[in-house]
Amino acid sequence: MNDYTDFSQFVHVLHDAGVQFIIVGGVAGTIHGAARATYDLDVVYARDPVNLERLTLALQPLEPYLRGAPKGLPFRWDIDTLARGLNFTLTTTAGAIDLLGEITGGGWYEDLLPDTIEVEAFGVTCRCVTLPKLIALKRAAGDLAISTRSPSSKCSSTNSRAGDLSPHAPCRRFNRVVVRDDGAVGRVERDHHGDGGHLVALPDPLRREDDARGDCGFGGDDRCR
Amino acid sequence: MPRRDAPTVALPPDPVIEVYKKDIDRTLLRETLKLTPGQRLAKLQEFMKAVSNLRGAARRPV
Repeated sequence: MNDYTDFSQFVHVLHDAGVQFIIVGGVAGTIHGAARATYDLDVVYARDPVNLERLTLALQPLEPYLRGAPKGLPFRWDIDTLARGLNFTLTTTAGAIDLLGEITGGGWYEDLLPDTIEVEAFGVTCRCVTLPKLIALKRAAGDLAISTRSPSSKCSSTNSRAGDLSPHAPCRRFNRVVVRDDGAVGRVERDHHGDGGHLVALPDPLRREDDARGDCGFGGDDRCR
Repeated sequence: MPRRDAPTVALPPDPVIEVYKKDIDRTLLRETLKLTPGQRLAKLQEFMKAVSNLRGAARRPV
């Protein structure tokens, strides 16, 4: 078994079996130019019976097992398991793969299909989510935080400073950048006492005249403007 | 082999992206964007192999 995920093997196995899948997540970011590492392959797969069977047969030789689960569980990789479940985080002899029947912010395979492009990867052609949709998916998953909350809302009952976050806010997502309803941009910082957080205002980045534009700075295309 | 590159993307100005941008080494992005998607994936794969080797080295006694 590899210590690392063999993206090439996964792509070839899925492609050769005729599996309908869309690359999302960190590998999609790499395809679009992101300069960061990722340790697994995330794909959204079609849930029709034919594709379930193809996916089952394709991964069978790689001995899929639930990632992080104790050894010895009665987990069987077959079409019934795939049909009864939806999203699977698996470890295999080729490394880690996440199979997503549905993805937050993107829906099902068919929903995501209009927001994909064909790319050549490891010598085969496969589908990858577009950059704008990838950013939207990251937002929906909370990886790139953006919020809509009132400027006077608070994070905890003991914290009454203006600019604090709402009780429903992801208060433990410290250091995330958020945008409030009023357009103010800030970074979530942990309170010195307690579990609460508060928003530290940042200067409006869109008003910076000295910032050289040229790329979107988030693994995007150099021509983003 | 024909070059199958990702299409040009125009993203509207976004305050969150602008804030994150200042903490990102964009020289790395520019270098990566010179590659095709396939070359980017191959580079990622090589990087993951290298990381794996380094992990092994850390576990081995000197």
